[in-house]
Amino acid sequence: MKALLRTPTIEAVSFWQACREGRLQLQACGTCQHVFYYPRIFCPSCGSSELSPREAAGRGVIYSFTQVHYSPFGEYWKDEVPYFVVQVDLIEGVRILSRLICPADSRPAIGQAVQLIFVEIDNDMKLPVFQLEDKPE
Amino acid sequence: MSPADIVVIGVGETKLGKLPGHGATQLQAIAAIEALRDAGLALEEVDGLVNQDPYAISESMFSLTLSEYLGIRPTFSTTCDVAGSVTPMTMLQIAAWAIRDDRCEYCLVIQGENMATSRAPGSQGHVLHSHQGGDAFKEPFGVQGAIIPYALVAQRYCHETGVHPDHFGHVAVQMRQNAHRVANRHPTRPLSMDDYLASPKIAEPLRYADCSLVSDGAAAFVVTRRENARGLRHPVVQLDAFEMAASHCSIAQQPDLSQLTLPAVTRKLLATTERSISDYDLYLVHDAFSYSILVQLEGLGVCALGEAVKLFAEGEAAPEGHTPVNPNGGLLGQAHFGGALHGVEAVRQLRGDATGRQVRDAARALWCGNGGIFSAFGVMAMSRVET
Repeated sequence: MKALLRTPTIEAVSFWQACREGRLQLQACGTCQHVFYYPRIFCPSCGSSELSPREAAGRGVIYSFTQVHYSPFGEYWKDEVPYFVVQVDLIEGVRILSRLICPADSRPAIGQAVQLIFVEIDNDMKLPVFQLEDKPE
Repeated sequence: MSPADIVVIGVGETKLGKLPGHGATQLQAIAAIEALRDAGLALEEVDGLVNQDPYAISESMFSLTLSEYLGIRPTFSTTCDVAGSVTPMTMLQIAAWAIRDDRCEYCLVIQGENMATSRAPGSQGHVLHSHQGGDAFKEPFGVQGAIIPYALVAQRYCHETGVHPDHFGHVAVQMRQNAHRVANRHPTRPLSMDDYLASPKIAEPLRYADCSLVSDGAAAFVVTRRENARGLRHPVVQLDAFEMAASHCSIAQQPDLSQLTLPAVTRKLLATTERSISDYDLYLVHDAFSYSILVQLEGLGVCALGEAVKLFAEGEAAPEGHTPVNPNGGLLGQAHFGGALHGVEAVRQLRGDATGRQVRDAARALWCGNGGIFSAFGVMAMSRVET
């Protein structure tokens, strides 16, 4: 799978290192206990810099999704189309933008349960994406 | 903060569509000269300039670049960028502050650029050559520009309101009809409901026909004190009040729909102006996407949640309807290079100059803008005043 990655800025280095190791790393504030994403140097709730990593359990529900039928990155991205983009509300109370990996004829629904998986991309990196949770028998 | 006692005495715009060979400087200069001609003001009388930094090809020191190109020597000069239509509203507010503080008397406010011809062939939507907040957590997941983020919000909007996305077509069709009553517009064919339903999906639930017309162009305003407006050949338009608030920037930090700032911004503006939302004769609403108008008419309180689409299905949003919206066709029908044309249309309507689409007895207009991914909302109230 393809993924455009920028050189991470200082607060994102450990996030991407954790991805490489197959962990989705949120941040938790030691002052106000706010859990957040994406990574920052300061807590966006109280401004504290007493932050610690918090590994996400990897479960959540679909807040919204879209199936994309064009390439926003020109020729480079053409063979990824069509693909699903998803917003997931994680059980940690954090909303994350990611991709939903499922067949093109899938019919995902808002509120449906999803599970975190990691897929290999270039440069020995892994990308945190989601798949629809198996429905219980 | 109320800018009342500050008026717009002239508006101008470039041609719209694809204008090869024009950069942001040329387009903004053309719009500025047109606005000065409309105001009957000589170039050398201009002593203030507020313009927007272009998105597609970013400039540095852009207010000075434009002043130099125009040959003016302003005593107040700055470049501004918030997002979408919130930028031109904020620029008008900055002009009002500068004039009230005696930094200048006649201030040009200008937005526009070559948004269409500067795009790579085959690209869709606005192409931003500069970085935005949160990009590092959008791009790896295949998210860029405005279309995919707005598709995510549209899906959620339909889920929460029960509005079927096919009904967004009522908005797209009305805006195209309105635009075809305007002489200066991005060249388009008429759009019927059948055409809309045949338009392919670009990012579900959005179709190509839900997206605005990315265009080259610019629009300008001449702003001054009300007492300077005596003896003009046309009525002038007062900036009654402006309010804005922001909640986030990128889709990577999208709050719940109920947490967007528009209802709070509207409450503040109505309190300042001591008016109710139904006191306005027309509404100019930032329409980067068809359903954006529905989100904003409901956020303003013009309609209850999920009800705004009826205004379009029943023709009540037409210039002759009881709630006219974007008589110029907005960004969907006329052109999208920002949102300043909504303000220009408000001025023309309030002056009674909107030939072919004039809203009857238009005395008060409400301009509602958003920018980013409903990240910031601005609302500006304008009214006709006699000089």
